Amino acid sequence: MKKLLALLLTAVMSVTMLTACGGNETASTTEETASAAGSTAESGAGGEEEVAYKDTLVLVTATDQNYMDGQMNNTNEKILRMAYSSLVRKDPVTNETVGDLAESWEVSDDGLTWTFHLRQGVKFHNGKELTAKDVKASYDRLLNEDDPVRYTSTMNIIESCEIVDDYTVTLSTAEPTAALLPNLLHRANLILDADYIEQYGKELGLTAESINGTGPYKITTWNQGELMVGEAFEDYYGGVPATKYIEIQIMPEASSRAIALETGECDIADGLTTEDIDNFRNMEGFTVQQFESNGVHLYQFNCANEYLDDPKVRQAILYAVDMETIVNALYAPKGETICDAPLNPNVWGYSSLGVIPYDPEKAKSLLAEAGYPDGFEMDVMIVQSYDKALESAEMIKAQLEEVGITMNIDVVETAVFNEAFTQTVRGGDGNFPWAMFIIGQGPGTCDADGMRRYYTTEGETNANNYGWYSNEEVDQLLLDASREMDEEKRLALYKDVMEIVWLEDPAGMWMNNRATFYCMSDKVEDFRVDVRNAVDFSAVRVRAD
Amino acid sequence: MIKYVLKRLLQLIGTLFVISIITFLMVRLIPGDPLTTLYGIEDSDPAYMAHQREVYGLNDPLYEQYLRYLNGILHGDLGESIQTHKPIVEELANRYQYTLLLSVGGTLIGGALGIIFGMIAAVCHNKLGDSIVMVISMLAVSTPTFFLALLLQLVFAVWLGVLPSGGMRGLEYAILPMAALGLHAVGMIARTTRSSMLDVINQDYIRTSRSRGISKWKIITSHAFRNALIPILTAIGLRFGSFMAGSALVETVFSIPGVGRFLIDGVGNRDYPVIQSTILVLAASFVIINTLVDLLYALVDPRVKYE
Repeated sequence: MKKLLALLLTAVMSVTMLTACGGNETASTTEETASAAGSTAESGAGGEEEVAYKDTLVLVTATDQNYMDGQMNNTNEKILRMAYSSLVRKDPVTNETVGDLAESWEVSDDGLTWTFHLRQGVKFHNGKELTAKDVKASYDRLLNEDDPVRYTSTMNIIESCEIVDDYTVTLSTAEPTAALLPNLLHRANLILDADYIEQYGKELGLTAESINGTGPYKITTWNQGELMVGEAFEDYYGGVPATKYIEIQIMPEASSRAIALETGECDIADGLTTEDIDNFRNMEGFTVQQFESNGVHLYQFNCANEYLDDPKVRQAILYAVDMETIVNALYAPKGETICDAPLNPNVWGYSSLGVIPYDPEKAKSLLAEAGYPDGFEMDVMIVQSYDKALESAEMIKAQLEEVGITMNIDVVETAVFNEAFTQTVRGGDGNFPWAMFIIGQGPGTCDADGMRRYYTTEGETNANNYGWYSNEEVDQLLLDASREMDEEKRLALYKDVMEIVWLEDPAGMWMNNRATFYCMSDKVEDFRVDVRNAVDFSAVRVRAD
Repeated sequence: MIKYVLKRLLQLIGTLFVISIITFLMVRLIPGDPLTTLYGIEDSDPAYMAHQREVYGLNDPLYEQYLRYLNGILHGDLGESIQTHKPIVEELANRYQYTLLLSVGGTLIGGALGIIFGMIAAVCHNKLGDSIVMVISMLAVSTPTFFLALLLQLVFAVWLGVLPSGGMRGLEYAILPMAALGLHAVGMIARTTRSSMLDVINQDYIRTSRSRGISKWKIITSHAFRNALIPILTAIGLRFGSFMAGSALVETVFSIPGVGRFLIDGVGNRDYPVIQSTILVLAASFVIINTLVDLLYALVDPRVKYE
């Protein structure tokens, strides 16, 4: 027995020693990093207090960019504007569309030609000056249908780009396009270097060396799936960025991102769960910043479904569901609000239509009118990547049960979800067995003109009409609005459209206005994100104290 | 010996050929498609998708696609990722080192602790020490790796703050992931060691040595252990192989860009070339490791000869 005890003791001690050694090693490494990182000092406003700021800011996020080229990128908007600029941008503070590379612009009387006057003296990261030649080369590449990039047909409202002089370009459209400026906010419009386009072709934006933009940070390191480092670009036209280095670290697991923030390994964490967001709200030393977005969350109707082709059935579903309770339970705790129109309030053209009242009796009578007094059975598709998708589906299922509708929830993977939509507007054999499906909508243009993508019956503009929605009046109103250059009239037209798709001939059951949440150390200052979820890194900084 | 190795290599080629056909067909059978997954639904562009389908040859007949893939492999080209547009050979070369490091570390930790625990249990057969070790190993086997990983993160990164929680920028970043893999393996290796040792301990020659007055400790370490080693080696070899292929969960929790995560991302994205080639490389690693373990037998036990 003594021997056994001795043996056990030895084992325990050796384990402890191993751990202890590991601990010491790390502690010293951390110290080294801290002193190596150093910090920059700046005078306070009064010149009395010295506030020191770190020269490196670390942000962790779930997925890396597939391309650092706005014409090819299909990941998200977040990081691109760290390196690139476009003619116009959304101001993250005022939410106005303001000049970026363009200083001013005007539109011709016929509404077909837009002239942009470029800022002079704007430098690319390699020191070259930006001229009209680069703008034209970027648009020529974007609009080339023979060798398309990812967003060629998305941007086909633009016909051509011409050089007037070194600092003036024109964009022409085939028809008067009231929403041209909002369309230029799309990431496909980020301006590339003409020489790099020639040198790298479609390889542009795949490696750090092939990125040359006019944005606040020059990308110096990019190990895809792991780390991206941006170094402040001294000649950035908007002034020297506040932090010397921005590090974007990729951490796929949400709980790992939360832990990294808690341990101080990063300053800002993106895409945390509702529970973690709640934790950081109440934790000392941390804050949660909520940014408005352009998006909404909804269950879209499949109007070609044998039951839902009748608008009365769709209205019945809307009255049968107590959306206020669902949003209060699932999304309000995080800080998101209930939809009161098919558009997010941050989209130009929005007007409030009021929440649809919960009225199961009315739902039952509408179902009876439609010929289904005993209800029916339907399949609904959801994908878990949408926040609280399953929870919302289960609540809706329970409420529809009350009016006699049996709802089967079909949880699918993202790959299956995406493929399902190739069976709708984009052709396929129409094999789409679901009566409703969860989806996010939010016009990238932040303009109600984007509704054409969701509701028009035919043509190239209806790329996102997955629900076989078709209403002649809506088609006409949307077309009229797209050509209407008078803002008041255009607003009125969009209000008419929204009233129809909201309740009269409903296209979906809207849930919540989406917001973006970043959890961060409370030492982070001036972190800004626009409604398109593009991060503005030019002013962000972290106090070193 | 050389003949044996050559024979195993030929078998390896056969195995890889069969695996290449199976994975090639399997990835195309699962619902979903690389381009619709890649381009998402928000802003997808039918014309561009059709164009890309041509570029990647996804419209060609299956046998043509397979032959093109096979031809590539024979020329050392594992294809290009549809998601990242990078050569898979390059991606794997970068990621393999991390996974290899974790697997070796995990195997060392699991092997060392497993053997120590297993020997303790065998020596104290049916006594308190045996029960304690067996309960611990039962816990280790039945705790899911990712849970163990999160637990380690919580204790060592958040509470004690002595180790980094994730990433891979130095050896100290590898300690927790190695421990997560290793501790999970401890249970199985301890159990194998215990039963294998018990088999040997009950043999006549051990009893004879004991009656000759040789100390129990010496018998255990020099006589019994050596003879019990073959099943233990097999268990450790299998663990090592499965670490190489199965460290995806640990890599995800600790944000390490290893081979396992590459494969999981590939499956999520339906990135056909990535799935096919990664499985092929992992299968090759597994077979090679097992061959090496087989060769080790001959070193450990002179009676084992490969003709």
